Amino acid sequence: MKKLITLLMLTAMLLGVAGCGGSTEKKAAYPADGDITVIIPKAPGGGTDTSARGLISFLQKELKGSKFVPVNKPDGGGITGMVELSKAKPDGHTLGMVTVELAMFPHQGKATVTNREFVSVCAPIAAPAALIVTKEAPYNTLDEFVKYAKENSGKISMGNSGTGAIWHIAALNFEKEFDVKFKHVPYPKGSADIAAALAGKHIEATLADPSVFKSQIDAGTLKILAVMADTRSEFYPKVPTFKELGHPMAIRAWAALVAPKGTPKEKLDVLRKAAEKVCNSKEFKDYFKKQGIDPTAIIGDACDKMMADDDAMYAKFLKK
Amino acid sequence: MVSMKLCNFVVFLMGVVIGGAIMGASAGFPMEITEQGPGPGFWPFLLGLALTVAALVLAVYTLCHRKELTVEKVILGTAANRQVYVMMALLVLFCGLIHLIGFYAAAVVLIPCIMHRLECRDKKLMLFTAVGVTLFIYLVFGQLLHTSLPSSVFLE
Amino acid sequence: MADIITALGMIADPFNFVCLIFGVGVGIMFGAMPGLSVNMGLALLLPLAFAFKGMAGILMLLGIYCGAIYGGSISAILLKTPGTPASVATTLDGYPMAVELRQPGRALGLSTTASAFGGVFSTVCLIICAPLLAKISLQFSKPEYFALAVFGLSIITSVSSGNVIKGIMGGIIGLFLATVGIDAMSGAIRFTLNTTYLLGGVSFIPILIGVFALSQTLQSVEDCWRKTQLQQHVSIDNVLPSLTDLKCCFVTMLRSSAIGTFIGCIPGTGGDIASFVSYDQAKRWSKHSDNFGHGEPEGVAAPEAGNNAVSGGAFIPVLTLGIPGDGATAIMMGALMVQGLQPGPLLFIDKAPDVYAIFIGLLMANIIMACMGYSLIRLFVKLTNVPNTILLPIIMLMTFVGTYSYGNSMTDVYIMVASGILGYFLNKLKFSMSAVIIGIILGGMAEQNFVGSLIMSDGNPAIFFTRPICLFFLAAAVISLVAPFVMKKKR
Repeated sequence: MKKLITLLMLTAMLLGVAGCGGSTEKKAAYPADGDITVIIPKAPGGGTDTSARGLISFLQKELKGSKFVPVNKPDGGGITGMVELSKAKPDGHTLGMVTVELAMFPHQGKATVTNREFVSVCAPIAAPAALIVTKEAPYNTLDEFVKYAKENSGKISMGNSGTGAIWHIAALNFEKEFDVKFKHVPYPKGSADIAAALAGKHIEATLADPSVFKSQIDAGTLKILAVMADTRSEFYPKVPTFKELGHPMAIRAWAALVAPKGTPKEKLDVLRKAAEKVCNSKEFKDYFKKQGIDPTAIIGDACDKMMADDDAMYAKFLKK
Repeated sequence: MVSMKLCNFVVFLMGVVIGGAIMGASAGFPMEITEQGPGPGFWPFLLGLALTVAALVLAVYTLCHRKELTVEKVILGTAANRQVYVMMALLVLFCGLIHLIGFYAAAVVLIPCIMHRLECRDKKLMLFTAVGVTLFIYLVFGQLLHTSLPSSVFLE
Repeated sequence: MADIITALGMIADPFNFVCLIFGVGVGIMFGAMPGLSVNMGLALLLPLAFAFKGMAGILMLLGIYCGAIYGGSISAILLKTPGTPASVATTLDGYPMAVELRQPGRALGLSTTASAFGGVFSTVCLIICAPLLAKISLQFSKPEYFALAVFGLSIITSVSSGNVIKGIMGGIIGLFLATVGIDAMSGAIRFTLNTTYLLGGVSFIPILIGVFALSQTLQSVEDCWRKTQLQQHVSIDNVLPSLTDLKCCFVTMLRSSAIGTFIGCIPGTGGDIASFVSYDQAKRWSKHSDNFGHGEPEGVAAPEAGNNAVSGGAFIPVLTLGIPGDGATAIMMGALMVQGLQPGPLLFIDKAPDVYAIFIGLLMANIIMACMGYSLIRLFVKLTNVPNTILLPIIMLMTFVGTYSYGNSMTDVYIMVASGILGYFLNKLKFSMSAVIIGIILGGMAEQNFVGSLIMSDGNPAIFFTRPICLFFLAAAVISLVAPFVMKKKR
């Protein structure tokens, strides 16, 4: 019996060493010199997850010999995953996705990790908040909507994806900017429920990512009045931006591929260069456009700036 | 062997305690029903209350049926149960072992231990099962599905 | 007509057909393994689906979707471990039929038949009356969802085979567990004990695996020691269910499929609710209601027909409105859009052949699933003959692996082990674990729609009593709760 135990312990030790080594080839150059883990702090199949996996597959094709391994860590509302990423070894082999919640949570007391713990590679999606209303609504432009809202203070039901979540914050921002009051109705399961509620006329408006509502808008059952972005959406070229109409608001639900702070600059540059090529390529754009998502190509420092800007904006808005 | 009556009373006590704790914790949140709907403490408070009431109903029920319930036994102390407790301890130890030597190594150690406790004495079978199953997990979950099972803390 | 022929041609294409079969196979495997969810399977194979041109990728995803809901029943029947949350109700009669009545083949055969029946029924409904059902589903707003959740909760009384009071207590605990985390309706952070882990709420799948798989394994260890578990050498002659079984279950399957299709077409509800409601209704209308929980064939057929009927129903809002009903249909919607099919009101007009291909694909997926199921039954039954000394350690290890695969978190694993140990004791005390699980599943839906309804009505509770559909489900819930006590009094 004792011999057997010893034999087993030896096998165990061997397997233990082997099993965690993974496939490492120390000869090749970065990024081909080992698996790159990408922590996705959301459940598989969701919007962030599919976009992340899409980006990773394109990057893998661009960077020959590299292997990106997506790992879903949806615990703790995604915060656990982001915290783990911030604590990971900054050797370029652990990357992760962070979402706009990174800029919001610290100011809501939900998390302590901020954008300052990360350096970004790129942000493939940055969905702007769009004002979407029902077809029968008596307003067809942003100004008409604001006028109606002022006359019917507190009556327009504005759907969002949860109190304290991004679209609710967008609506609160809207209230502050235009001096109006809505009735906020949360739909915690997400934008698909908001779309169903609008289609069934249970609520009157929403400020949310327009991609989920695309089929309804195209079919004419919903109207999109304005978009909170810097440039017009490619899907709705006739729809003005808030900026054009005199209100430079930009609330976006972005997701960015980042690395922990301290990752060596050479490795980061390799990733950023590849990301630049990928995000500007036709296949990448087609992949997202076909799903109704407006892809963005915010790379490197521009992405860092976006994260910092949003963090400052939410700090100001939420700390009141 | 404990009687069901006694167990029910334990459950009643725990129900009251937990229900009370829930009510207390919910009271820390706003509870009134305003135009923005009920506050976040409203629903959990109702649940705590319902739990306490249910526990009380259970106590009453147990008192009414105390004859049958004294006869009905809950089997917790026999030799068979003790084996289960040993197994539970093994599983808890396994969690710790995963941290020490990594998942695959710990699995190879765990399987023969469990089989030994289940009165298997065939050493070849134990080795074969341990290595076979671990290999299967490595191939399917490790390689195919890219699930990186935890590795030893010392190798991090 | 020409469109249908084009669609048939698409399915008959060998590559497409192979993809469909492959998808069903993968789906069944993902469904059978607790911890591997259908969403995970879809997300993993999505890149493959994109790489394939034409309908091949879509057909593969359809196969995974249908196969996974069925696959969960396999582990539910053989191991009392639901492979997916939609198969929890199948454990109630499936496992007793397999173990107490020593008829695992019969249980698996019934489950396969019922699943295929439900899937085909719902696809037929999808083809014939999708627009009508879509219109009804649009009537559902927060009060209706709340009433549906309450109706779902009312079945706790029928699944608590031990003691109804304890079942209710278990359900309340489940409802409470669902409140832990960030409250989406008010933004408040509740009961998280200041941990980051609980901020996202209590992890449901680890608890499911622990409370069903691990505690059942521990119970098996005890039975082994008591030598009460005779090593069964079960062999089966017929894989298909007997005519008597079919005759008595036909009405049940019909009713459950209707329930499943309806619940499927309401966005935000899925196989879990459908299977519970189907089981509950089957029990209430059955002549053998006392036998439920002890291997009653209707108790196996009902939840399986119900949960597979969701597959066709869930496509109704997707195809008619462009609104995904749940995570899995959202993924498939994305895949459809990448292929150039924009789901929504315009789809039927612009791309009819592709829509028919989806319909036929769903039908074929269910048929292939049935064929695969039947052919694998003998293999599965052989698995039950594996001696416990080998089977139990493997199952224990797989609970760890499955839990870790779910969220890549050791905290999940600790929760799973704790739930398993707790579950063992609670089972001894005659608590019903299904009641707790129902509470966790429906807790969020119940509270969020309760609060949401009051937000919409500015705090006026009359909203629950002035809407017909809402009233209907609330009344059904009350009748469901009261009926068993009234029936008992009559006897």
